Amino acid sequence: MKLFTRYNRINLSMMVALFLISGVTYYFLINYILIHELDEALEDYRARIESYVRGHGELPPVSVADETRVSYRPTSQAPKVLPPENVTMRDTIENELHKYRQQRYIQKARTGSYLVTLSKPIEGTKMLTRTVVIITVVMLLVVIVASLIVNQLVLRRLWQPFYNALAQVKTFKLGNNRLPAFAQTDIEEFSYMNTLLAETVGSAEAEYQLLKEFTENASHEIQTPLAIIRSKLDLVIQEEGLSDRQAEALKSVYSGIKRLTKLNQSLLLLTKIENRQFSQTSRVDLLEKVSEKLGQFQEFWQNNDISWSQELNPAWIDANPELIEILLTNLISNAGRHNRPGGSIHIRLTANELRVSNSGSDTALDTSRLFRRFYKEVQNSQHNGLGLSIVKQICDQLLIRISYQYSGGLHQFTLSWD
Amino acid sequence: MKLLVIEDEKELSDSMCTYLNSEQFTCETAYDYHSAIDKALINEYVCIILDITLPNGSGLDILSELKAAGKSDGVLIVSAKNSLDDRVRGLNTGADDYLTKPFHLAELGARVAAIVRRKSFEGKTRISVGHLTLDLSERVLKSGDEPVALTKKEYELLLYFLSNKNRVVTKEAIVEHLWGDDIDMADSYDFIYSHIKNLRKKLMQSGCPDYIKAVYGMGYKFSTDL
Repeated sequence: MKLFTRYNRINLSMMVALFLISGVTYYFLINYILIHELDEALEDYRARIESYVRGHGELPPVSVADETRVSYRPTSQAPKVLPPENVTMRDTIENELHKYRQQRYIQKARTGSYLVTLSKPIEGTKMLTRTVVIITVVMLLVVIVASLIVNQLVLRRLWQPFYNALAQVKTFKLGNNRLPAFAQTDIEEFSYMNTLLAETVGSAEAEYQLLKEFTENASHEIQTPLAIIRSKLDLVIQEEGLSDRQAEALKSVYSGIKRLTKLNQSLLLLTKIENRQFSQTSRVDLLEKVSEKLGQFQEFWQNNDISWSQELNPAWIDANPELIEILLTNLISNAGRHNRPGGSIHIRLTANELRVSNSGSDTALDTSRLFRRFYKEVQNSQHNGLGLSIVKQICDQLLIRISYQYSGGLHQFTLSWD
Repeated sequence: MKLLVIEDEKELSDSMCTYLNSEQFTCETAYDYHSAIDKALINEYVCIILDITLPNGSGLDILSELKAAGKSDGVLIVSAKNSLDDRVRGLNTGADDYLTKPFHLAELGARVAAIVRRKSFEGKTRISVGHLTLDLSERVLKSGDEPVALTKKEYELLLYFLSNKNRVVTKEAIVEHLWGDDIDMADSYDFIYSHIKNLRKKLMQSGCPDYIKAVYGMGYKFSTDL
């Protein structure tokens, strides 16, 4: 839910509640005041009748034109004043039911005791309460509309620095070495937020650069001793008269160095991919790349008595060319490497999918551990078990979906993209 | 012809010099930025082997200084950094080639030989192999005026051997040179045997003695002085 929506919702429900409460309060208050006024008027009327009786000894004549309806009825009760009450009576002229405020009391006159009934219509108060309700509702609508407009215009403008900062942060990408520029604002909270954001982003970028340097330094530090060992080996084999046993030992050392070198390169590659150091993208012609790779590997497959078939259609992807290169090399070389003599490889490329299937071991690979680092089907294998985790890492970064399936004796890796 | 090896790791520098020293080349060494600059600016070298990470400065700066001074020595960058960026930066600064550590000395030999051929024998694009001639501009092997049909791989193999004449070259180094680093068929390099066999056969059919000798079962040595 958007901040405005939530704010508006709270604001409006508060206003509706307040207006309803105030409307009801007004109604009762005004009603009470009007009734009170009527009661006082009736009280005055009674006082006037009493003073007339004191002066003349008899009740005053009833005036029909008067708004106040008066009636006398002989009674034997002792003088007393009854509390005022609301009654409904039929209007003799309009012949309609009307509400009246009524005051009854016993008046002693010379001719005996009378029950005096004084009634005044409450029509005016009805009119007033109706007006109060209408005003309340209209005001409520006006306030709601006004507040909506104000929120739209003013709030949006007030929050503009916040949205600007969000947009800046959104364009920021770690590793680009481009820090977002936050616009100046004179609102304290936003300016504080911008300062904090700039600091956080700046230090993240600095840390990232350090990490990159570390990766490069680690590479240098490990590669150099490896280079020394290998160069010394290259010199040793120039010597005449090495024994067969020495030569065998040297072969093993060569192979060990090669594995170590590959391992180091693979780990560095993984770190680099994770650090998103391959972020530049361009449009890559997959048909061309796959054909190129197939050409590169064909000879090896032939030598190992592996047959292959291909079904290649034009396909393009927006990605980092180096990563695509590594991805294809790993996938396609795996298909040959983990094959068996007399086996087969099938490669199918369509506009949105690349499928590499190959024969190999007779059981499916462990899908839960397949893409993990150092996963090996056979523990004593010469391979470092990083190939597929590199493939996975690249797929993740390039938003390519990868799946593995074992069917009909074929191990199938399927890449698909949009 | 003189080569200059600028490399701060003394052991590696020694290996490179020992390997490259021959009747054709003499090697000089520099271990840090300042001595490297001094030597490179005063002397003429047919090829400078340049490490990027040096004490007191960067190899790329040396390269820029050389170019600014109008020096036309060939430069082969040897670096532990294997990223496209570094490679592009090195080549754009004016290096002729870029080799990533760790490398086979035979590969270094081949790269240096290629640079030297480009830089100093601009007219001479032929290498004699016994009584045969390898024409580099036409990429053919000739016996007199008759071409000897070689496949692309056989041609490259022969050129590689010629660049590492009288040296033992491992099968691993040959595979990496001819098929690239990506090709990694575990430890089986036997498939190159057929290429070697064919090349050897073709050379011998053209009347050459057997120049290619298998050594210790791990590599081959090409030698014309039998």
